[in-house]
Amino acid sequence: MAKLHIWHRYVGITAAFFVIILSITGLVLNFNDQLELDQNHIGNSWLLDQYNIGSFPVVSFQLESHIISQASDYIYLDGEYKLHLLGKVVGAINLSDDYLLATESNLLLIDQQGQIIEEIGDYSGLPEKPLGIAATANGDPVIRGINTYWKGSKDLTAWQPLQGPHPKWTSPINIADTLNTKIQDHARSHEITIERILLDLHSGRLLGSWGQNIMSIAALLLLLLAVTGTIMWVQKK
Amino acid sequence: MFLITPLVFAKGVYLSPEDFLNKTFNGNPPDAERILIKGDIGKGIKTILGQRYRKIRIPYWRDANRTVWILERIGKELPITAGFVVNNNQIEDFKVLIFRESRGWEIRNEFFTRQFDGAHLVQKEQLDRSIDNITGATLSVNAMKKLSRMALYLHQHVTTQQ
Repeated sequence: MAKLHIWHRYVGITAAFFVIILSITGLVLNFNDQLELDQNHIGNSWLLDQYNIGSFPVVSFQLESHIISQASDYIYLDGEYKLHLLGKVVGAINLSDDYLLATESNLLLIDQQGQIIEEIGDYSGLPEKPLGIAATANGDPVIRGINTYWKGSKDLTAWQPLQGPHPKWTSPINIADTLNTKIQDHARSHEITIERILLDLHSGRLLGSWGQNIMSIAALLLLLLAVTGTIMWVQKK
Repeated sequence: MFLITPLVFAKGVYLSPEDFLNKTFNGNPPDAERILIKGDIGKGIKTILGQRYRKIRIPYWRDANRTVWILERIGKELPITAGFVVNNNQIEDFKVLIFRESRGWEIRNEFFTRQFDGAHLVQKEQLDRSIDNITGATLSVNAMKKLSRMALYLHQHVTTQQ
C-alpha cells in the first residue's frame, strides 16, 4: 500500500506538467471561433522554423507606376498586402485605372485598393488559360495561349485572335532587397495559425514524433493515476 | 482504407463551372451578362452575407426567366464555388462545384443540396424554409445558405429591372 502510494505520487507529479498543457490548450481550443484562433497567425521565427516555413519566392511585375508581387498565396502592391489569391500569377498589366493579373487559370481585374472587380475564367468568356499577358499600344489586353494570342476588349467580354505585331509580354522583375524582405516577412508570418499551434501542442506534434510519444506516455500516466488512485481508495475503504 | 477514402474525395472540382453551364443550357449557354455589386444591390448583398461580396462585377447567364449564378464564399478558410439555377424566383438547381477546404465537403451531397429545390425568398431576404445543418460542416452550410439567398436576390434584381 505504501509503495503504491509512493508510485502514485511520483506518477502524479510527472503527469501534472502534461495535464496543465493539455487542459490549457484544450480549454482555449474549445473557444476557437470566439477567439478567432484560425484567423490569427504566429510570427515567431523559432516556431516557424519548427514547421520548416522557410522563405517564399517573390515574383514581381512592373506596372506603370507600381510593382505587383506574389509570395505564397498573397498579392502585394508596392509591398503592401492586398489580397489572398489561389494560383500563380504569370503577368500583370495596367487596364485603364485598374490592374489586370493573369494567373495560370484565369484573369483577375483588381482596383487600386486591391479589391477584386471581376474574375474572368473559361466559363465567362476567356478563350484559353493564359501563359502570359501583355498590352497593345492602345492599352488593350492580350493573353498568350498555347498556339494563339488573344486580344481582349477593354471590358474583357470579347476576345479574338490578335492580328498585327506581337506585343511585349510582361516578365518578372528583380525588386529591391528591402521590398523583398518586407514581402517575405509578411508571407512567412501568415502561414501558421494559432489554432494549428495549439492543436499541435495539444497532441505533441509540435516536437515531431518525439512530442507525440511524450504525449502518449502522458496519457498512459493519467490512466495509471486513475487506476492507482482507485485501488488506493478501495483499499483504504 | 475506409477511413482514408472520404478524405481523398473531399477536396477538388466536382463539376467545372463550364460543365455546369453546359448541363443547364443543354450545351449551348448564352453569353455571360454582368451585374455590378454596388449601390443598393451592394447594400442588399452586404445585408445577406454580413460583409461585402469579394468581387464587384459578377457574370450571370440568362435565358428568359431563368438565370445561372456561379458564386463563391469562404467556408472556413478557402472559397467554395457553387452554381445556382434560379427559375421564376425559385431555386431550380444547386450544385457545389469546387470545394477547396479539408472539412465540410459533405455539403456536396444530394441529401443536402436537394433541400434548396424550389426555395425562394420571403421577408428580409430570408429563405422560405430552414435548411438542416450537417455536423462538422456548419460553416460550409452557412456559406451555402447565404449564397443561395444572394443568387435569389440577384435574380430578382435582374429579372425585374427591365
